[in-house]
Amino acid sequence: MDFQNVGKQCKASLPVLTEALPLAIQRRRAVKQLALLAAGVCGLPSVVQAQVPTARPPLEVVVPMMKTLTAGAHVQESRVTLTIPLLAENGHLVPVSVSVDSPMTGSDYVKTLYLLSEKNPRPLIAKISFTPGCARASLTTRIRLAGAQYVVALAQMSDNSFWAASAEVVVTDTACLDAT
Amino acid sequence: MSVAKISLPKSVNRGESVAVRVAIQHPMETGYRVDNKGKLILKNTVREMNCLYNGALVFSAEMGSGIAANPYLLFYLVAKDSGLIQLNWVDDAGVKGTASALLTVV
Repeated sequence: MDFQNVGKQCKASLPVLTEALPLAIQRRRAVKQLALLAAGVCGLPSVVQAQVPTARPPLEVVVPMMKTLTAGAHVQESRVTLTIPLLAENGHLVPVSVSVDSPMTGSDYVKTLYLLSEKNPRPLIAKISFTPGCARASLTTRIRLAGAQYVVALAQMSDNSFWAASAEVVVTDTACLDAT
Repeated sequence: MSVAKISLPKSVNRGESVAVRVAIQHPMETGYRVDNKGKLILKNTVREMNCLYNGALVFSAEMGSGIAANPYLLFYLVAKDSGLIQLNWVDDAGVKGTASALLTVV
């Protein structure tokens, strides 16, 4: 096969393409404007806004119990990783895993880790006490959840600073904790 | 009567982290359920669980009805010396339980 000729053929066909471009662009612009017009009429901007994840209310509002645990201290939302399924099919058994970024030395370690729930009749799920004898501030367990809600992990460090993470869980089959 | 099991790796190197898996057989009654005669079943959960490593307290957990039945916990300890990992727990009915496992550090 004559590759040189193939190349020439390609080059020859290029001007045809560039001639066609302005037309294509014109059509794209028209389509874009039509789409924008339609979006304006249908109120599309509000739909786009709804796709942006809605902001979670402050943690103290989600779990009022936090105020008593922290005694009003400032809670920073980092260093804590809360792993929980987005959709829990069974509220009686939801696997949850929490880890806190900490060196776990004698002078700097995670003292206490609280697992809190927004809608359970008893918001305190568990209170875990770590020591420097723990290799890492990490816990995996299985919890009960009464309905779709936020789950919050609150960690108190040895310097009494508070760190937290939260996650929203959708529960299909609720654990009937309050006999409803 | 509740039974507990501690799962540990066969052996660990000194200074490394050891995954300790604990499973306690317990109904973790919430106190919101009724029996077949309509009588409320009393809340009975494993209230507190302590983990001792060679006699020193290294980890403890206070649990409530938010922990699923047959509580399972996974946590990590620093392997210092070969020895006993002991679990002590007590539930709301005052029933105490204990379990232990030997950790081999090489």
